[in-house]
Amino acid sequence: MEMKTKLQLVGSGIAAGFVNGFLGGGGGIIAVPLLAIVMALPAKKAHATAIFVILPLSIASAAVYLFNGSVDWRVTLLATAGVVGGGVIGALLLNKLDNNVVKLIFSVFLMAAGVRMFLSS
Amino acid sequence: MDVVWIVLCGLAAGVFGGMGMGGGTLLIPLLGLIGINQYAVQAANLISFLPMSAVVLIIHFKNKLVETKGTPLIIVPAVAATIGGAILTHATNEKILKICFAGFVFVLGVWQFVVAVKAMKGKKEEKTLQTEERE
Repeated sequence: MEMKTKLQLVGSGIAAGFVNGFLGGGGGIIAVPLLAIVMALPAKKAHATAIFVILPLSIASAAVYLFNGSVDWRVTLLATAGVVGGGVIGALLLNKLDNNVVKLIFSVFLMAAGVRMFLSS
Repeated sequence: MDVVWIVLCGLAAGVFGGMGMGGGTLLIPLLGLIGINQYAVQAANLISFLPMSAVVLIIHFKNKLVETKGTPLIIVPAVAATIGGAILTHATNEKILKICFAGFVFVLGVWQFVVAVKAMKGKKEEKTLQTEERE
């Protein structure tokens, strides 16, 4: 592996890691395109490898949040139940909907969420 | 009543997550909208990601979709950076944290919008080409 690639991998790790820890998420969205570009991985492999990279990060940052007393277990468990249920629905819908249309809806949600959050802060 | 809202927020974010999009990135602002504090929301997102991704990862490993070569070069600095980031979170005022997150999801939204529109345009052009070839 070339030195340039190694440095790009380290840089990608720092970027995805910092965002995931500081903002409590979003590391995966950053990691997928970075892995696809730096490691020249096809889309499916980049997605799968991103989860492999993000899982230890999430464990480490969750431990820090836990240590700092930020975890509200009631909210966490209820949200997790919803996420698991929604995840199953999403996986079942995956091949039934146009991925780009879903991505478009998702992007509009993100922009609206950003504006709403900025205004309410 | 907030029990229903919390589960619904999780459900909505989970649907996008199940389709391979960043569901967690949506869970954080959704839970914030129903008045849960930013630190608890971020912690909930990190923890809710663990069981789902562990199961998904086993499936991906079985399907040989995980590329482990070179990943220690990402994971080791990433773990150090994530711990640093998480410590910084607790030293940051909630209002500033919310503004940072708002900026992050907005930029992400614009980027995903551009990616989706480009992919849709590409698909349309491909279809036109195929029709022309058939004719």
